[in-house]
Amino acid sequence: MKKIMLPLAAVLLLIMALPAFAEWELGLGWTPNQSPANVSDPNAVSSILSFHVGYAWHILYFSWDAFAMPDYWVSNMTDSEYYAPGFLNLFDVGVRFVLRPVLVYAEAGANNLYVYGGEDYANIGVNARAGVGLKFGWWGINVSGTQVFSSLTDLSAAVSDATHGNWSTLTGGSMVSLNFAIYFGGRTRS
Amino acid sequence: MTHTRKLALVSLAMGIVFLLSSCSAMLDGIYPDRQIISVTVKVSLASHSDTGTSGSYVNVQLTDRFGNVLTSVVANAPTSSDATYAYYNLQFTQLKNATYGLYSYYHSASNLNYPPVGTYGPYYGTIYFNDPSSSTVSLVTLPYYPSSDITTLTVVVN
Repeated sequence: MKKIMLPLAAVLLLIMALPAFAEWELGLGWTPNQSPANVSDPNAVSSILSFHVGYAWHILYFSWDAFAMPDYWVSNMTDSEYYAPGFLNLFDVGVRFVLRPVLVYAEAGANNLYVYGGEDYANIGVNARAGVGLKFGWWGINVSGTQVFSSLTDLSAAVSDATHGNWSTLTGGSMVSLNFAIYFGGRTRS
Repeated sequence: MTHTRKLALVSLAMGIVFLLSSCSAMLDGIYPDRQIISVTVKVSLASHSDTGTSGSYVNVQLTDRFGNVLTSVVANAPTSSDATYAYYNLQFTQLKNATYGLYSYYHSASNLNYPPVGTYGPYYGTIYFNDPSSSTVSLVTLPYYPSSDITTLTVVVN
């Protein structure tokens, strides 16, 4: 326990020593065509639009992203339970560093899937995200990579595959997105 | 901009995103052309014994509501068969929410095995909703099944 608590306390003290900083961000994202390998229809490709809300406090970063996923992706995610589009909601916590104008972040969290017609897919999934970009005052752009697993079981299976040398399950299907964000707030005290 | 105004603006935006992320109408707007019609054409083996032979085929045409052909698919070989019918399975994908007409016929390879003798067809089929009504249709309005987004039709060629 000590091994975890001491570094954690050190990080918290470092955060507290920095000037207070809190910032909201709103954004839109665009992900180029995604077609899972097991979809044979060459027409089943759609670029994905996403909405973003984020909050940064010191280096801590909280975000919520809603990806409008196409029907074949939802079918793949739900083991063919649904064939309809849906919103993939990602709720993540992580860290964000801004060394103007460069911005870097990494986060992980849970995700749920809203399916067209009012259904919520029962499984809660997990995801990890990382991004790098540029921030110019009140606006910025960044590129992010997101890896989504439809459940903890899927994540465990992917990690297990990776430990046996098969990394494709762990890294396959990750989404690379281009994001535009506007920022509200900034330094709250010096 | 005051801190209160910023907070109000962000809260408003969050509310809008929340509504959008649980809104089917928004998905309709983002993916307007995602509907699918799945068609099974059943050709009576008693009337048409030459299914699957060279020169015989099923043609399915998707039209707009005015009868203008939008797309046409030809299947030469049945996907499966039983004692009564040969089955041809076809799909039309990436359709918009609209009203469509569907026409299907069987073209026989032989001009001898079905009256009137001397014609190869086309032998037009009757179109049914597979489920739940099993009633005949002339026009199909999408979306029909909002949860699955696949409308299944059966065409029977006797």
